[in-house]
Amino acid sequence: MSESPDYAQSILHGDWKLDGKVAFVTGAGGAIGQAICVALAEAGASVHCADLRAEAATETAALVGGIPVALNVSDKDAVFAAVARAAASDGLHIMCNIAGIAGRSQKVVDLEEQGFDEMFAVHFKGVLYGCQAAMKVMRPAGQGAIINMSSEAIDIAPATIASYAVAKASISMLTKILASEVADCGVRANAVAPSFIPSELSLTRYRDAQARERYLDWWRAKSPLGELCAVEDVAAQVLYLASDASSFITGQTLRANGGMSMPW
Amino acid sequence: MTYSSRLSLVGKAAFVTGAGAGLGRAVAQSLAAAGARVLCSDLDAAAAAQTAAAISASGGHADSASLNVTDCAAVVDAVRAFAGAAGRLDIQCNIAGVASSGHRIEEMDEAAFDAVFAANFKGTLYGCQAALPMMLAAKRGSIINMASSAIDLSIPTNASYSVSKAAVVMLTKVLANEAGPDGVRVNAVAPGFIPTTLSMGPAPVEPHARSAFVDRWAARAPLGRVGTPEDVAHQFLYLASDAAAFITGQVLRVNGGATMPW
Repeated sequence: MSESPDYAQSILHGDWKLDGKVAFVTGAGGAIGQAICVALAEAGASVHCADLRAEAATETAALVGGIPVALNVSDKDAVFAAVARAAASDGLHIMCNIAGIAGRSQKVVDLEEQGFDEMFAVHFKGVLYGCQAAMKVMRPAGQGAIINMSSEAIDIAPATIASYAVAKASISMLTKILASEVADCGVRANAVAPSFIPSELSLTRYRDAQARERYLDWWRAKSPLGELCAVEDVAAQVLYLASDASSFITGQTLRANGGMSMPW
Repeated sequence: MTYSSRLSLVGKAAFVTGAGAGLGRAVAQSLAAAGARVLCSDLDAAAAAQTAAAISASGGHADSASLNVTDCAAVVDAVRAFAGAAGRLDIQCNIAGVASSGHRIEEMDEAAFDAVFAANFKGTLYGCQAALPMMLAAKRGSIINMASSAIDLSIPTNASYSVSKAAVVMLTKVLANEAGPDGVRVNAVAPGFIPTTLSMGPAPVEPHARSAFVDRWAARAPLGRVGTPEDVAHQFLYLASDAAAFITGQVLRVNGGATMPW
């Protein structure tokens, strides 16, 4: 074959690049958030890495040459202040609301209201505050890309994790309505819905190695591709949605799920 | 592995139908620009040759072929010949299609419906069937089929086109389940209104009315514009590449928010 590698690289500059752009990522200390920070930084963005755990934010920021931010996303004032600070010098072009907490086993009939409210506060309210804080900057600027973390749970309605699935469904719906409301000023809002990704957090309930492997095999078997979702699969989707390559995409929820579900 | 290397198609071979104009031409150019060797096929042989020539002129690697996608044997022969020449087949883009017959359902002309279905659904089916033997044997491959926002919009007089595209989506999902265990991914792209020779067919000829026709489509999308062939080409590039290694059975909308299905 005679293709020229130099020519091949050309498409990866231009619309897919993020040079000069400022990104704010919540949950940046977790496995998915960190991969997203790596992808955005590699494409040229300056990344503000926010996490509830200050040391985790610092670790990711050091990895990508970004700026660490200690942040509790369920604290509205703190979110507004942190985003305003991040945008103060060079604006804000990309807002990734990734922070979340693991689901817990509880049937709907036994649903404990306080537990549900905590789940909803971190997931829905945390994303809402992130969107509202970003719009303070993006509306006057007339541009921006917002990317929210949904989940495969919205498609498969897994038994016993209602509070998590409902909270994630609320994020997908918030994303669609926001997309309709902010399109007039050139801001796009989309969500990503990955399937189960193994991490220390998502596997906390499985301490025994054999039980852990059985659980992972159960997830692998659900995908026609027979594999688990990797954080890089999600990060590549976020990179696409953050870049001008997706400038005609808004209000969508992109699935990185190996075909586990195929909604219309 | 860097994200730009995941998006690179260097060393890969892609077969594109409907590559002579509009979206197919933009997709062929985009895949070639990312490094793929591309076979540009089209019913209009001269148009396909023009796309290949444009790619070659800018340093890419492309050949062209005349192809009627409603001729199953011809599709199988063309894809097999290209895979033989390239020594592989990584990407199959089934883009060739025709517009609605323009009938309301109560007056549906059956022959007209069958013609639209043959081009849009059967043509896509043949493209998938032609590519699968090589891909299944190699345990890798990405098939991308052209759907449309018409699957979400239920536009009057558009039944022949919309039904054929809905059929393409279900074909995509079933094939994703069938081919997934052998490492072959199958996805669809559903663009909103993109002004092309095909989509502007029903538009009035008079310039003001013509631009009002486009404006009405732009107003249906929250982003307030119609799409460009490049918007669609970026999505094909993403799905064709290893950046989408875990994406299968999905329908991606590039429609400015005109529809936002769950």
